[in-house]
Amino acid sequence: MNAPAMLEVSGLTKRFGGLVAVKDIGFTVNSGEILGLIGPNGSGKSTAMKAIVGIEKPNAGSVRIDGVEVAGWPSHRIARLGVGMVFQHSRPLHRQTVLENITLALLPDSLLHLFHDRTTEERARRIAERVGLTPVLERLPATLPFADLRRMEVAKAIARDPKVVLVDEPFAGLTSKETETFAGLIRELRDSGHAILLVDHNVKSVAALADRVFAMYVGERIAEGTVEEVMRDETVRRVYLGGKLETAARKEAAFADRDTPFLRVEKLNVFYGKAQALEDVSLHVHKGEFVSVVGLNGAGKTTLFNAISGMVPYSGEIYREGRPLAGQSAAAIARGGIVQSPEGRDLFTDMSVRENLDMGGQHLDAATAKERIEWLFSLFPILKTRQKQSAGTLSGGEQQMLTIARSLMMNPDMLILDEPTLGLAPVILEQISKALEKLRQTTPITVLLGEQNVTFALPHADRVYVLEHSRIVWEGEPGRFAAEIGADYL
Amino acid sequence: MSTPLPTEERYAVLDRAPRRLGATLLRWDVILLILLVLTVAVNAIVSPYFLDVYNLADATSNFSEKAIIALAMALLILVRDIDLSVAAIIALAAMVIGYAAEAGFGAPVLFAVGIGVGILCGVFNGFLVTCVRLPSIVVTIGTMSLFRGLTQVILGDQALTHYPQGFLNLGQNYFIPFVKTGIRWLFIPPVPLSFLIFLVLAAIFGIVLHKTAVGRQLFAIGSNPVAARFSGIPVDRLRFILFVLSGALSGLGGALLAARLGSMRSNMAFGWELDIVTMVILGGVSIAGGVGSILGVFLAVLVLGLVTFGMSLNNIPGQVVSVYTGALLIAVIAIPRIFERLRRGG
Repeated sequence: MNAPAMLEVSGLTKRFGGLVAVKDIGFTVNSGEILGLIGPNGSGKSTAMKAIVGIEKPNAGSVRIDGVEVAGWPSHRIARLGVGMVFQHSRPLHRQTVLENITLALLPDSLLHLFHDRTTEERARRIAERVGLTPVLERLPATLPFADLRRMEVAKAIARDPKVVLVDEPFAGLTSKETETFAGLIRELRDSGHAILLVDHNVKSVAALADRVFAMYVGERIAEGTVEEVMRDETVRRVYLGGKLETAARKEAAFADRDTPFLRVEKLNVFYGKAQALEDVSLHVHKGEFVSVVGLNGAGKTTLFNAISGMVPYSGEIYREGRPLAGQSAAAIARGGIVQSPEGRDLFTDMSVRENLDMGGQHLDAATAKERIEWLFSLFPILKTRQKQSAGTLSGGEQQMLTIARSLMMNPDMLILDEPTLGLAPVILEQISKALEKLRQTTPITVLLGEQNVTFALPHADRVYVLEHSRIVWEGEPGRFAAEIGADYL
Repeated sequence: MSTPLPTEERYAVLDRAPRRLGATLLRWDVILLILLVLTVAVNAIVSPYFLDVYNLADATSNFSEKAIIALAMALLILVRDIDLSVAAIIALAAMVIGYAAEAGFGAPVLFAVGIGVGILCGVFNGFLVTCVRLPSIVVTIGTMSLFRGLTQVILGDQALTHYPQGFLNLGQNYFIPFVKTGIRWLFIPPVPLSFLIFLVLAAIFGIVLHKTAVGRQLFAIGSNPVAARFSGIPVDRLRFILFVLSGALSGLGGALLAARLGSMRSNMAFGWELDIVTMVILGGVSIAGGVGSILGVFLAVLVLGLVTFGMSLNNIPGQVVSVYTGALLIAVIAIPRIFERLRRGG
């Protein structure tokens, strides 16, 4: 513990317009230590990391690397001073071999060093050996398994022997065996004296690795300490698990359209280039049913919803009331009554709240539209007071409510809600939660909800699907979730 | 060990005037209006011939064909597209009109032929952009060469000059003649057909864009195409229609230009596409999409047209006019942004 702090962050604050993404965060990482920076999605941990490495310029606070103040420096100078970063998504040079990709990270910064010396390649080989890439040195990145691409990212990050190494979502997309070897690699880095900051949304995945954990929520520090302390911490438990889960599921047998459900998805496959985003996904939703699709970031929820909405090409079948949806344009599907409230709150930011709603209700006659707007204002009272404000100046929570309201304005038979809770404060969640409950009890609407926040997803579901790595891995009533698969969460 | 959960709102609402965008737009229109008044004033002082009704009427025919096409271009740029093949369509349409004229058809058929050729070109552009999903700038740079090249291959260095008199009259005479009422300041000015068409179309476009559901859908597409799709707006169908419209108006422009000039060569209207884009951008339509007004484009058309006319009245060479319009465009775009930055940066 007496080692000098390699990375020392204090008072770090980053604002984006009206959003305080990171608020007065401070921690230290010593040489030969692993600190886990955790928090649910949207808690500001990625922003904190970007502020440290200079990708984002912090609004206030100090970042010291080995005693040198670097807050506000451009990222390449911070990197040169000794900060390496392992990105979650690797963007290799596709026409260069693994060895060449690593060598690139070793090339001199100065334009005056035109010729690279022989030792560079030798050093690249040594680094590759250290991370276990020796067998694939001459291959192109596109031919590598995902785990090796992550290794290559590590190799590039440690190429210049940085004092501090930041790892973003270290285990995302890795199998459990790969996770083990990757953890071993990170441990070796620590033991050779690097200060390591792991950023992850999941306490559990960094538990075995981190010496200390720093937990964030909505931009603020909520807990700090050893893994055991943080996992026991009441605030952390509340953030991840909420209070006691109360579910009010209706039995599947209660729905009238048992044989031909309102929506039936069968063996859906979606590819983005070579990457498979959905693999043999089958599910169904009854008329009036609330179904949640639960899964972590990147599991394929948005892809599934976009396929249903007609936004991405797919193989397999999607039926609405027994008739295939394939071949219909996205606009036709939306007007036909399957309306998606997209992730990330796609609004017409230049238009006022009222104009956004009118855009949703453009096909309604004036009287119906007026009635519907009144009803939406009773569902989301805050929107009524903000009618004339332009949508871009609303807070995140209000924007989310407006996105949902605009979708409801279209009078949908089925509402697809993609990650409505992303990055929102608990107060707002409660309001959206109440609105959903009101929908369930007072309207015949069908809802398909995509969430990684289980606390939010379960109470509003009659049935739950768990999507993991592009596949459905569990289906059942929310009451059975905790016992059967809940352990894999948190 | 446990700290209270942060419950306060993480977002601060940045208080701004609710219709900030509207205010900016208004300011843009005001800038153009001031420019227009200045242009007229300076020209009227410098040259005694500027305020002559016949001179002004002739001046309008020099920019009306471009101005008509600029209306369609404004809508395309509003939805984040562009059509750079308009000038090539003018030439292609004028050529087909020329051959039709030699075959003995009269004025109404010739106009229909021009618009028809334009529509075909627009359908081709629209198909490539919305069905094949190619970026419109790439597609229309391609069709710009394609349509122009087609004209050059067919026509060579020939000129088509045999247009019927009825057709030429539409382009060269005043459609509405000068009528005096006996009172000194009350008269009906002479109006060429092309300018009359521009005025009528500008009114229609203004109403459609600013007062109808379709207009709001176009703003929505330009503002956020993804959200527009989720809102059930037939994004691709509307974009397709805009390309067809742009083609049709280019064909009409070709007919008007052929009638005015009485002859056509394959280099007809060469380089006009950028003049037209200049009108639209000076009119305050944002290249980023979702912002713009027909009033702005209308004012920009008049400013550019009268500046060019005034300078030529004073024997200022075309190159200097081009320098001036370039500077004007950059100034009008830059000044509001510089002010905005000064205001915010303090």
